[in-house]
Amino acid sequence: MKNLCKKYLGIISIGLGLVIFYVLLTDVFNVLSDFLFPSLGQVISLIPDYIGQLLEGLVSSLGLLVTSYVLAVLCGVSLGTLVGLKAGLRKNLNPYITAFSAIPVPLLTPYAINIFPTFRLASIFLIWLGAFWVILGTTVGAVQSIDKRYLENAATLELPPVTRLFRVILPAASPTILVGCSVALNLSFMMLAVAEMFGASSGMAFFIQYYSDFARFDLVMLGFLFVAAVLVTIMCLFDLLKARILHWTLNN
Amino acid sequence: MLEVKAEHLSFAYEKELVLGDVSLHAKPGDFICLLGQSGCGKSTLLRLIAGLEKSDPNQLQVGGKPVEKPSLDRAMVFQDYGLFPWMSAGANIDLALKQKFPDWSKEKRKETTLLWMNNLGLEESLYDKLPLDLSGGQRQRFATARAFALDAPLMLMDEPFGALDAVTKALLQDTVLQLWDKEEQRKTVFFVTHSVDEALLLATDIVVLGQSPSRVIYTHHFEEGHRPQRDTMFSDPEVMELRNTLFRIIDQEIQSKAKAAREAGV
Ligand SMILES: Nc1ncnc2c1ncn2[C@@H]1O[C@H](COP(=O)(O)OP(=O)(O)OP(=O)(O)O)[C@@H](O)[C@H]1O
Ligand SMILES: [Mg+2]
Repeated sequence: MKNLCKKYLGIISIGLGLVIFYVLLTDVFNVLSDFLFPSLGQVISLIPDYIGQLLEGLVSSLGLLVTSYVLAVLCGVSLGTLVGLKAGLRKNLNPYITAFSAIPVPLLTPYAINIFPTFRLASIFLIWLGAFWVILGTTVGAVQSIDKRYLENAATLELPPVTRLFRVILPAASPTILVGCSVALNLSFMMLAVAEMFGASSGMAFFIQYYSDFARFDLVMLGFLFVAAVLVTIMCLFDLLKARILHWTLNN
Repeated sequence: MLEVKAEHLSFAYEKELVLGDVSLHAKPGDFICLLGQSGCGKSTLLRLIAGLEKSDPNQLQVGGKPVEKPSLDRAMVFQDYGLFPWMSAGANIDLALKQKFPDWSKEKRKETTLLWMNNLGLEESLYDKLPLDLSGGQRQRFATARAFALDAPLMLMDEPFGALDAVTKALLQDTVLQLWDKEEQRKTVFFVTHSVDEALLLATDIVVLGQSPSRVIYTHHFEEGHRPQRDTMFSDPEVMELRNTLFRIIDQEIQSKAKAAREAGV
């Protein structure tokens, strides 16, 4: 525990600094309008009453996020590997991958709502799409630029396709693929917020949107803090997973 | 144990002719050391034999058959990149064994891996280490152990001991020679080196390639029982004469190349 505190001393002190700064600006010197920037004490006192709603929102948001993101990773990595390995496919598909990934996914919202029977499916599609293009693009690049010597090494061992894929190609490409996955994770947070703003009836971003319509900025602030905590947790988990997969690289 | 036969072998990367006209015949069990200046195509020749580059079926045959693609029968020791960095050094050998001997049990593979590690002076505790956490010499030994563990009839080694200190190098040379020598049916070995002395010590046959587009400019065959030994070779006038000859030939090639370059420059 003591070690843990020591390791995160920097992070903890910056956090405390931010809290003190906010308290100084609001409660102590009243620099900020207390309507838009409620005092922290007030925000915290709201937790017991609203924690139920927040948790419900969390479950709903995570449902959307995890489903879409996992699907995006599966589709992106498998298709990307296929395209990356086949020079012919790559040559013919690359312009289209680039072109489609250039379309800002939020602009597709009206299409998604019209095409899919439910808002939830439309949301999943939009979040999926946002993450998918990035993962697809980086995976194609990653697989294509695998050091030829690893592939030759695999060839002299006559590794069969499946072994070659899982023991050579994916590990060799994993550092780059994971960069894509982390960009895609950030994008899917953003798309989650977009998606929840149009059709959701619960969710973390919905919570913020809903109470900001009523000008309840104390609750908006509570929502922000809650979302921030969730995002930080997810990012930490992602980094743990990443460090585990990339344990063999120099950077870890 | 595999025979390798190259007849007027030529090879070009795109337009650049690298091998001009290489003819050589490695009989089963030969230990061929390839000498030649940098860029003359030694690695290229090895890659052709390994099947990593396409060759004309009439020009190159291994075991009486044209080389079509890489095979477990031809174990390659890459100079670097011999091990996959994302799995432990031991797992690298294990993967190769799994390929070569699919019906072996896990225990048998581990046992064999440890045996070959031991043969190359690698402690058991290194099994679980990542290649990145090993010294260069240890990595090279693992790569060599993997090749031996595959028990391939033909071994292709591209400057395997190039980056090692003198003591480790001597140790590994002796090990490789012992492992090759003690077998009833010796493996055929192609061994690329920059060092004349290494070649003298290891080879049954020394082959010198000229500048690229290269051909064989010199060969020497040692009769069984007349191969130089580490402790006596420097006092053996015959070996020393051969050593001088080899140095002279390689030097001449370098001189003539420099001259050609000068003339082309004017
Ligand atoms: N993949 C490649 N594509 C194009 N040219 C290549 C390729 N690999 C090697 N060459 C060229 O072929 C020639 C021979 O290269 P090779 O690696 O066989 O030489 P080498 O005798 O092994 O040299 P060294 O002793 O420095 O390792 C060089 O001029 C090199 O530039
Ligand atoms: Mg070379």
